[in-house]
Amino acid sequence: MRQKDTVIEFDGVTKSFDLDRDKLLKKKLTNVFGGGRKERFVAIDNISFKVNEGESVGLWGDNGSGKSTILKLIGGLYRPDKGRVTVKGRVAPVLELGVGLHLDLSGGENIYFYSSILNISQNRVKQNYGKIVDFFGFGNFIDVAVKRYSSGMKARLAFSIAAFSDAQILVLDEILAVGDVDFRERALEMMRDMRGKKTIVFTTHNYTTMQQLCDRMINLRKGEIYNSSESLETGFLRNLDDGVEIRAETLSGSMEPVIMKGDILKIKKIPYCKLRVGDIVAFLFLNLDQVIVHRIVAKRETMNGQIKCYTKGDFSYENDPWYLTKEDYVGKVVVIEKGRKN
Amino acid sequence: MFFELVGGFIRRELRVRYAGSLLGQVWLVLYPLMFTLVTATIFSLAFKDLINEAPYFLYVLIGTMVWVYFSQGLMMATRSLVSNREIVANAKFEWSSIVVGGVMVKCFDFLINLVLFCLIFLLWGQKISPVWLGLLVLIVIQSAILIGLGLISATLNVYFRDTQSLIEICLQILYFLTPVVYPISIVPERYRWLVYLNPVTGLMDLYRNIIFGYPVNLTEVGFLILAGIVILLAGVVVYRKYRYEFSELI
Repeated sequence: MRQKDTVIEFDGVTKSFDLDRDKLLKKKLTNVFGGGRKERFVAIDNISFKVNEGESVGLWGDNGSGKSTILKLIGGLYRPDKGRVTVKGRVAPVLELGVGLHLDLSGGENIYFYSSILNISQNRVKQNYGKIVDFFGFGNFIDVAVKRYSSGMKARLAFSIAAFSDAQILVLDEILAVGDVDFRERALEMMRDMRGKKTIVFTTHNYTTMQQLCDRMINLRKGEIYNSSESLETGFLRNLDDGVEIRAETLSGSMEPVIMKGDILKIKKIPYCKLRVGDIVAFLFLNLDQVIVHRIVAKRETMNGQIKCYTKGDFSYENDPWYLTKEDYVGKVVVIEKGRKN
Repeated sequence: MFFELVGGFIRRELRVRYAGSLLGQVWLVLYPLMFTLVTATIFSLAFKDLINEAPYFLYVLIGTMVWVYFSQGLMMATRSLVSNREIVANAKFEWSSIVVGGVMVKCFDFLINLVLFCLIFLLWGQKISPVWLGLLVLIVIQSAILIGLGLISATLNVYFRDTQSLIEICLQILYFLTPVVYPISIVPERYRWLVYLNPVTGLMDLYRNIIFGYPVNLTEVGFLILAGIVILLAGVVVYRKYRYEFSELI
């Protein structure tokens, strides 16, 4: 297979926003003459990554972690404060919740209108009109004004239009958050079909969607990339919901004799702040694509208010001390099932 | 692509405009007509004798139509980017197409009004001459001026929402500085430059000269073409310089 080209490249990109978005002339003038202090919010800070042609990349992170800012930078809507954004090829953004659909126009009219603002040529729309309506799935609603649509239907329409665009890069912001199971299935199937042919960058808060759709995940935290090289499984473990339990088999013996090699552990995600000294915890360690199980021997608060746990393996109390932070924490070991070997 | 976009915005606007209204497109024609009827009745008492040959009602009607296109076109263009802020914030395309589309919608209205004007003109017992083809040139010039001014004011409006209010007031004042209801001859000689500073004055003069068969000064036409090109280019330059910040600020 030929080497895939890089189609999206972020090189040390920083983007901040003026929090004081007051557009009144008065305010601007006082700023000019009073040397007004400007408050800025750094949405993404010195971010670098590459996306290759045909790759499907998911952006993962909390609200406000910079996902949408990255999408808008890819779409050419924002200019970076620092660094460089290079995008090769045309981008079709699927706007959140069908923003850009006109409520007084019918579904069919919107197919043409929405396409034009996504830079899809009208000829292409004409060719694909039938397919778009099919995929949308509510053929009987196509002549009805969009204001009578449910929010799910609007999102379906928007997605259907963008899915048939001729852009090489598709940018999807939370588009699968609405819509029923049936539509999600079909959209996922469609996106799986596109994998390898189109470059897709998307955001979601649903881990299953993430796992099904992306080749690679970029983990964002407060505007910085946490670990873009980590595997999906690692990302999955890092982001378990509270109360979720997973089972894992032990591969090494750093916690002997409590946990032997081959034991099955039940690991439950409990809130990080509720961990106590003496608990056995599972956590990820950078560069090691594995889960480490250690016992907490001390807990301490750092200068900036974060809680750090000092952990050690039972087997060699002198060696391998590791600090556990909230970011790497996976869960607490709640049950140890003895493996067959013992 | 650009024209497809413009076409899309015009179609959307026309389609949506009278959704849910009973009289639909009739409002389009009714507005300048009623406006003219009221102003003509009031002002005819004062200016009737000063307008030599042209029937006063027709004189005011064409003036009002040109003025309505100018003022509504400029207001529409000024608001266009901000009133489509969701699209501008989320999708990158040639946003100037929204501004151009806004002006073109009003141009469409103007054309319909002109057709109506022709009918009234004929009913009045006047004759239409081939010189009227010159009106097309004037429409193009006026549209170019509007697009140029509109690009500037729409850009400003993204930064300062005060722009649209300010322009509304300016248009109010400009209305009285434009010979819409009065002939230029009633303005004292030494203040006349003030009225001529306003590009709409020259434009309106030319519309009337063509329609009522007065001699047309070609230097004046040349000057207006030049003004149209300069204003249009200025608009494009301003728009292109500042568009990079639109998504962020709008």
